[in-house]
Amino acid sequence: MSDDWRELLDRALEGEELDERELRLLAAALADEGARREARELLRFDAQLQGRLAAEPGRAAALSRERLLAKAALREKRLGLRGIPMPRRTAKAAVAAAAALLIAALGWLLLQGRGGYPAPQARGDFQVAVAEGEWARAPRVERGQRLAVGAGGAQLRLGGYCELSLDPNARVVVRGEARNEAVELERGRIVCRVRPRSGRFALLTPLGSIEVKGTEFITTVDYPEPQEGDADMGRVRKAVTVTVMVVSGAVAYHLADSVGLLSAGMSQAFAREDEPEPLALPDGLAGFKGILVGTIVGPVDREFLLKVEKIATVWPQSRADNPQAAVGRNVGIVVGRNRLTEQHIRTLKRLKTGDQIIVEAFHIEGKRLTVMELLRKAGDTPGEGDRKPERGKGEREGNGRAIKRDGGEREGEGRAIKRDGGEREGEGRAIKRDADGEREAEVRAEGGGMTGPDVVEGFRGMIEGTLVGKSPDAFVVRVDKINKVWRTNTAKSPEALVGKSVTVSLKQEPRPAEALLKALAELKAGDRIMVGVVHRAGSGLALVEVLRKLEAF
Amino acid sequence: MDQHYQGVWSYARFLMRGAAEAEDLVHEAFLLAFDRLASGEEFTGDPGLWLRGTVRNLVKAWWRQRRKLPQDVADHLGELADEVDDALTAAAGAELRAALDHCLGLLVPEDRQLVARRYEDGLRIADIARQMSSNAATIRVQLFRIRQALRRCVETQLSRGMAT
Repeated sequence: MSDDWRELLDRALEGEELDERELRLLAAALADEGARREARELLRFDAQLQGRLAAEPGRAAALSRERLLAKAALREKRLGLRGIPMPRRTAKAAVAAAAALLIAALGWLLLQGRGGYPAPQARGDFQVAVAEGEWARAPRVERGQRLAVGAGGAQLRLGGYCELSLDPNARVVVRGEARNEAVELERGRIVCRVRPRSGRFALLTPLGSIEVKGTEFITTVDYPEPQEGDADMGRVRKAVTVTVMVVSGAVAYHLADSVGLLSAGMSQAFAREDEPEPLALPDGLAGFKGILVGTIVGPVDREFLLKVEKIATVWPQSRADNPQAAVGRNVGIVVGRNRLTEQHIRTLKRLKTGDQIIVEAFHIEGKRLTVMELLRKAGDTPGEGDRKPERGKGEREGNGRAIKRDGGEREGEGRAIKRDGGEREGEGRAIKRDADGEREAEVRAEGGGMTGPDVVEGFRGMIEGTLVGKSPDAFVVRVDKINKVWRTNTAKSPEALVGKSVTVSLKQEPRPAEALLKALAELKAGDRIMVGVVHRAGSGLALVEVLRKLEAF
Repeated sequence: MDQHYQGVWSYARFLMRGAAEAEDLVHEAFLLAFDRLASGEEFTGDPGLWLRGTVRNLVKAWWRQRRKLPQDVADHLGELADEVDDALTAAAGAELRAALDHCLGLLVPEDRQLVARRYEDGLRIADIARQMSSNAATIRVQLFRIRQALRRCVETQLSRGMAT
């Protein structure tokens, strides 16, 4: 075991057992200011990495939160049933206090005349609903009644401890029960003042509820008018917003699928936009994994709407029953935060309504498909629109072979050499060295999803897949099937190519056949193709015969 | 988005390296907050800060009791956790995010896979070692080197960004 305190720190946090000597070493190191500073930076970077890479906590955190709410409800119920256990010594005092409380409560009930809990009281300018669409003035309100507030505003008093002021045109329904008051705010603005420790009060809104036990807060339910741009494919989005402002005390909210606390001085707006119909996942697309071609029909952000024109590829692991049913339909597409790579960000910036794109997307959950590695405007050759590599001093492209980059994809043989300060890339691989010459983690040119030489080495055969980009004499194909392995093949596992993107080049051939060049010129991104290839060198393949467009699945 | 719950949940999982008890401690902190509200007490300032502070104290106790760390080591770790509190909860700036993405994109697939298992899948080092038929010490050293390389790369990216 190492005595390096950094390793000991890592092990301690991981929950590994340290012996006494190691614990002493760690404690001594963390007491030293220099080591402590370094530890802080190590942990900070660790946290930043986790923050950036950890899967969005959305669903897992939501489930965990639900468990918390269930736990809280159970606890409250238990306390209500059993009372809080107390030490025996305080039991006598508690009995005396309970007796005093009972006397006080009885006295209070007697003072209330009829001994009842105060009924809801309303005053001001309001009407109550007497039938669907019919309103009438009423001297008092009852639970379950809907109130429409007139121009003069109105006040509600509930249980003797909730004072509610309703703005003109507000609409509410009186809910709740004794000591557990509640009002449903359908629209408009309400100011709630709740006396502490007198009972519970919940304000129900179209987005959820706000619970308080002693506070003053203001809530508004609003239905904003549709704005320009809200119309989407002929459908108008409907939205509701709830704004909460806490004047004193604190409130716990459960609004628009979020739970939290707001304390005095804080305000927050919650909104929900009714999802337009196109965002429903078309039947048969649940569990889809593959490549789509389609046209963007709405504004482009991290999420956008795609009218599907073609299902270019269905990966073998797809579980979709009938992906073809999505053709002609609008599908929501989202780029997950953990997949928001530079390449995708650049592509998203260039895309606009009306653009035809090719996208590899998986249905993971919900109503949208999630973009995986491939997101490209149709017609772009790989690398188009991407930032051109900046050439620094000493940088050169090697071996006379051009290198094109498209984020995660690399064409040619990857023999380009790029120098940038002390960083050297060669054969698509670079080794960074620090000032002391110590070897650090290896880095290499972006190549996620592309084949490496080990995968293609010795391969000879026919492959099927989707064309994801091309130049006049090379193209990238996403392989989904090994059609045939020729007898001369020496690749150990040809099937390893499936699911990978591979560059197929005619440049490697001394005299590429005219027919192949012509066939390539007629293909476009998204087409399914079958192609005969051999491995000659590097991480790409050479096109030697047959380049045929296939019918889509 | 549940601003408080997700933040506190991520924080606890980070401090406890994904241990199963993390959720229990988060729940305990929230239940304490509910009690506080029920008794009419107010939060001065951001309730999220209060919740994370409570979680930190609960984790410190957990380190001592369950992980058998001596008081002084648990205290040191608690102080460190306090000092990096903002790294997880504050939204990383666009520049940092871009630099991280860029540098992660430069990792060789084997290293990227290791990072994915550790940070995306949230696996502990011992679990990664088991999956990869390796030993924990080797994986730990590999991850340490990868993080060092990434840190340097991110710093370079950020300094370039500031220079332009």
